[in-house]
Amino acid sequence: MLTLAKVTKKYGNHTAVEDISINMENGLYGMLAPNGAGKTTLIKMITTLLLPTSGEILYNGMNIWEMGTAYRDLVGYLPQQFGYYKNNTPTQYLNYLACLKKMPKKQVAGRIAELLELVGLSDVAHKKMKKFSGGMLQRVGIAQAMLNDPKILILDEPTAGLDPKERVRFRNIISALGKDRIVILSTHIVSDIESIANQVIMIKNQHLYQMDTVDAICNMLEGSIYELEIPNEEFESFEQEYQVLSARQESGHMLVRFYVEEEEGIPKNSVLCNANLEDVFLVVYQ
Amino acid sequence: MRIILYECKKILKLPLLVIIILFTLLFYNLFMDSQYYPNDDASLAAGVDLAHILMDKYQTVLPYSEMGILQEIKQQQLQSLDSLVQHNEVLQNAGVKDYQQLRGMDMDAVGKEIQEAFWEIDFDKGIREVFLYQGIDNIEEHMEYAPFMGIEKGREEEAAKKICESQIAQDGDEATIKRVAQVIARNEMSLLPTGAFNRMAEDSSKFGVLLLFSCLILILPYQIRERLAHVNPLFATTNTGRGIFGKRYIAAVLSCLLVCLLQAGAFLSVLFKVGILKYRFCPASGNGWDYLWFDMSFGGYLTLSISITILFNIAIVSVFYLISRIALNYIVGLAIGLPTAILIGILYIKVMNYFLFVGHLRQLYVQFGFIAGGLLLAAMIVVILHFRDRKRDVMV
Ligand SMILES: Nc1ncnc2c1ncn2[C@@H]1O[C@H](COP(=O)(O)OP(=O)(O)OP(=O)(O)O)[C@@H](O)[C@H]1O
Ligand SMILES: [Mg+2]
Repeated sequence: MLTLAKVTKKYGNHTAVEDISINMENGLYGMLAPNGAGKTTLIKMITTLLLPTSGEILYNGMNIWEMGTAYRDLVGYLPQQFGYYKNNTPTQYLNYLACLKKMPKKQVAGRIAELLELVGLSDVAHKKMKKFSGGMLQRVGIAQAMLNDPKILILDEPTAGLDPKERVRFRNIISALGKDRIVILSTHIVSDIESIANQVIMIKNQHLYQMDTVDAICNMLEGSIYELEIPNEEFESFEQEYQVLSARQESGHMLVRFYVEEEEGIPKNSVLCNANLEDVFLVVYQ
Repeated sequence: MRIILYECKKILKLPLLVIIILFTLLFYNLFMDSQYYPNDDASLAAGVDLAHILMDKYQTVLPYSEMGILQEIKQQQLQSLDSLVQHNEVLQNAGVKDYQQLRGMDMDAVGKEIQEAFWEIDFDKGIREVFLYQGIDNIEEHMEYAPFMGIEKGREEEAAKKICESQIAQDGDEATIKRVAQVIARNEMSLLPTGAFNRMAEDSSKFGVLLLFSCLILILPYQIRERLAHVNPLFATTNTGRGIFGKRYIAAVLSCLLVCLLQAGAFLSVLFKVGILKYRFCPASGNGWDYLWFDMSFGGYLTLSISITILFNIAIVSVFYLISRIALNYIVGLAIGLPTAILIGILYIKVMNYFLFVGHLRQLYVQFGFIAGGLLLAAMIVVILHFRDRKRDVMV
């Protein structure tokens, strides 16, 4: 079990995250927050790159800083900015990382082949990475994070820059990995985690805002999300009155999805909808 | 160990090695003088010839009791020259009996034929003999001027003072005089030609600069490339963790050491090729011109001097390492690294030129202080970075 206990990180005077307490068991944790909310900061503390200004992070009750190597052996990490050597092939780079991870030499070649197969890069295993697309690099990133079969897999915005098809592919790979380990995945893209996260962690104003299952989080807004058809010309005034979450042009009119806090102000003919994670994101981080 | 080997492979890139080789060739051609020894200086060549004849008989030193050999050799040369004169028809017809007489003639006043006959002997047929003859003259003259052998016991300091005044330093301090007196008391002449020694002593401080830039070319691109690849955060989360920084440093040091050793090999082969290494068993102090603070053989001096140069350079690698750790990119790295290297290089030549040569005691302290300072600085950088890396945020 991975525990964050009242973790705070300050960069000089600027507080990035404050007083965050979380418990994580095996499963997939989606960290959902907008740009600059402190996702990377939190992740870097969990990967021992940053020291918490206060509070501590424990793995099975032991401070991860004191565990040192023993802890890092359990970690697989895909940084937001995945660094690699342009002139290396995936195989060379994974070999080098296996060396840094001090994996037994005998296992390495087999493991690399297996992982490249998993992420669908077997046929470019010996091509230089400078010719790779963003999606291919991200897949090398996943493979590298999985090399040591980590108990804690941490992916910082792994889907940034991927096209929808790659994104789906990615989701499928990740969702399978969460069964017997802790997977932490940060993103500001709702669809990345909506269908696969066991728990969603939301950070707002430097604090932990909410941590729960997708359903439970969506239930927070139960009875507050409506849809209504309005004439095009009324849209502007409508937008001033209500918090519009989305609007779609339909033949001759608009279908708006909006959020209302109290029951009184709901316009006639509005249709009550089930809240989804996107609604929550837009409402919480309005 | 595996990681360090990996890192070494990343440092020792072929293009960089080629650049270093080209730089080295350029450097030798522009600055290193040993390669021209001794042919660029006729008086040197004479000394060399003489040294070789004497070394055949006495190995490393000529004791005072054997000084007579110089006259013998001189007479031998004179005899060969005389016979050359006597076998020359032109000279015979002109009534020239021996070489001394020929030398004493006013060449402007004689006919063209005699002039040519003289040149033939002096610059062609008898050139070796002439040089040897003059070489001995030099030694004798020199001994009259600053006698350093055959001094009565107890009067060495007096003689030492004279030598200091005439050839070492106008105001050589007491320690210098004492040291020179000590060498004089040995009452023997080292067969190490001063020309060979001086070339080597000057070149070995330039050699330090060559090493400095070789290491710079090797280290800076490597360290900065690593940073620009943004791999540090990823690597720091592996088993190796922040240890990667230390490993990179060790790899940098090992690679530089390898290049330094190769450079030393090249330097020694140049010295070997021109024949300077022949004198390696001769005492470094006491050929009448050169005095070191400590007793050692020329080979010992060479080894010490090259070793200290390499040691100092390895220490400076940590300065380059520090620069590449704090530089944001290649441009900044080179903008700091290059002037630093040039500054250290200039200081090195200034301070380490004529390493361990007597003159002023102060100079000896400066030389030792310089080396010790470099080592201390290196140690400080390594220790500080080590502790800083251990518990510090990894940002880039
Ligand atoms: N090295 C740093 N020095 C100072 N402030 C920083 C540093 N790194 C991050 N911050 C600040 O801390 C806050 C949190 O940044 P962080 O990178 O953790 O956000 P994020 O949620 O990962 O954002 P994004 O989605 O853009 O990646 C931001 O306000 C950022 O400006
Ligand atoms: Mg981030």
